[in-house]
Amino acid sequence: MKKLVNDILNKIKNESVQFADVRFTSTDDEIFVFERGDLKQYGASYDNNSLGVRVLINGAWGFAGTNDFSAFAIENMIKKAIFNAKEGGKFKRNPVKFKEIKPTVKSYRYTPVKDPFLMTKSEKMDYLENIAKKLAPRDKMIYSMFLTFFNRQYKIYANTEGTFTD
Amino acid sequence: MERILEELKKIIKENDKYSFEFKLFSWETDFLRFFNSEINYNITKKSISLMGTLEREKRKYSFSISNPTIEAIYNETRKGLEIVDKLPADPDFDSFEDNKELYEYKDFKRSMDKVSLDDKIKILKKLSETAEKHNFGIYGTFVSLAKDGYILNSTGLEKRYFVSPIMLDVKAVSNENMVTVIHSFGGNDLTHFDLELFNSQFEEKIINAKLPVVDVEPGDYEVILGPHAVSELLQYLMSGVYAHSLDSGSSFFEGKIDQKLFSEKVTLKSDPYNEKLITYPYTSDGHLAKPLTIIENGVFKNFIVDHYYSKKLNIEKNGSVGEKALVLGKGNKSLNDMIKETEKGLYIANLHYINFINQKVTSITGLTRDGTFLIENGKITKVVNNLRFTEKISAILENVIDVENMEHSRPVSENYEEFDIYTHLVPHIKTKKFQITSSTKTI
Repeated sequence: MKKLVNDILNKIKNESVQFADVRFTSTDDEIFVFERGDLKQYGASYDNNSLGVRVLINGAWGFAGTNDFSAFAIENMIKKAIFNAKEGGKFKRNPVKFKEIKPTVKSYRYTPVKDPFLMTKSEKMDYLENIAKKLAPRDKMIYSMFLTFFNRQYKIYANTEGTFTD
Repeated sequence: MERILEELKKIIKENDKYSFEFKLFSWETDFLRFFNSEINYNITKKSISLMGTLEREKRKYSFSISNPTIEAIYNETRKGLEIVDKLPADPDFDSFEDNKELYEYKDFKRSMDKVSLDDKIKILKKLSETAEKHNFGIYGTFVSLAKDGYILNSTGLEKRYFVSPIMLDVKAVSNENMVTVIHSFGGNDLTHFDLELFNSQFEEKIINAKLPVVDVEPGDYEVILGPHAVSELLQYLMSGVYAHSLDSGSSFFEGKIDQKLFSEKVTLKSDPYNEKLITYPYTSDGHLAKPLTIIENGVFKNFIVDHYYSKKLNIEKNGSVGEKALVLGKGNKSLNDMIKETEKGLYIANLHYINFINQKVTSITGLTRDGTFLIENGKITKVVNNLRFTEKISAILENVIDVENMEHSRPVSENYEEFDIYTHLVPHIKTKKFQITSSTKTI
């Protein structure tokens, strides 16, 4: 994906923009919902990938994003961001001035003590169901809802000033 | 999309020991944000996604795929089939939605194709000129959306789902003291948008916002609530109308069908085919959208019941899209007369930061915003600092003494992930009971 982000950035550089940046995100989610101790929903979404570009042209911003990574869709995304910036310039009195910024080239990865995405599905389910059952209604309690949501995201950010981070 | 649709039908057919539900959507927005009377940015965002649920013997597993390919769909389905039998069962699950009625679309024109970015800019320039005359700037969003796709499941339900609304939320903010007013529009397109009328109503609000700013003491006030404020209150009230809240024991309306709870001037319906509202053709699980009377002349009439809860609670389902198409019935008094007949009271345009204190009795607390005014001897005389209020929605509606003879479109939207936009059609209301607990001492 780093190559794709670079390629998009290089393509935008040829479009005489003052500034541009490209974002890539890949998101994983898992959700568990229990009501009164019973599993109501278990859902997962992995590799939810998105691309976004932002351009500054004549002091006006234009953004576009897509989750379609075909060459055609990426080309359209770039065109649309440029169109949005140019159109935006028609209702703009104070053009955005962007100071030069020192580029940052870095990688950072957060490692949780216990990563739920490395646990097996049954390990997670047993653990959470056990809690949900303990929270199930009794005595005067008539209802309980227990929701667990796991989320992780990998992100790449790059801009025309030379910043490239992930 | 059509190719994927055919594969999904194949999966349903080939795995007949399981039941499936699929929701396949393309989603696109042109999201224009303006700030201090100029465009801040316009975002165009597109995505295609598939949500699938498979079930056997009340055990369910759901997955979602971003930009789905045929290969990814088969992979995720295979994983689901491997895991679903090992999951705990949902004893209340009976079956997926089985309503087969179809909505007849007039066309599939997307709002962003009906209203161009240029058209939006022309409208904003006009509103900006009006605001500038009074030394105010305009801030807000002008959003087009298109959601197009299919809902299908193992019962044979197959529905094309198409919603493509437009919304304008514009605030005028004083360059002198930050006093703010709001005006909005939402619909399938701009057919019901009258720029001249919108502009003149907007200007009227701005003129009021130039009045001197004062504070008021805590206490019970006679209050005229603007369409935004009414719509906010109705959203909180609606949380008790869904069958889920009835099931969980949190509904204010539990055991109150056919009881008179509010002023007879209050009639609330969910009316998905009202031409002034954004059209929602189906519920989220594919039932054809049906009109539903929720409150009639103050009497509570119906819960909103979907397929799942109709089976669980043994109540007939009604195919209501609920708060996605709320209409509060008009009254017979003009806003001017409502103000004229107020000796001392408040006009509150909008509410926010609302939280339930106790959902079961509809008690909430929150803040006023976007224009709070003092009414004295039948006239709006001052701007009031934003106020904290604590009140039961039921008490507000029980004490309604007047409802305006005109409805206003109020769009409702979130602005993250793949959001929806829907509309409420609401008049101003006047209530004798609205408890102000303190002033924020700020605008």
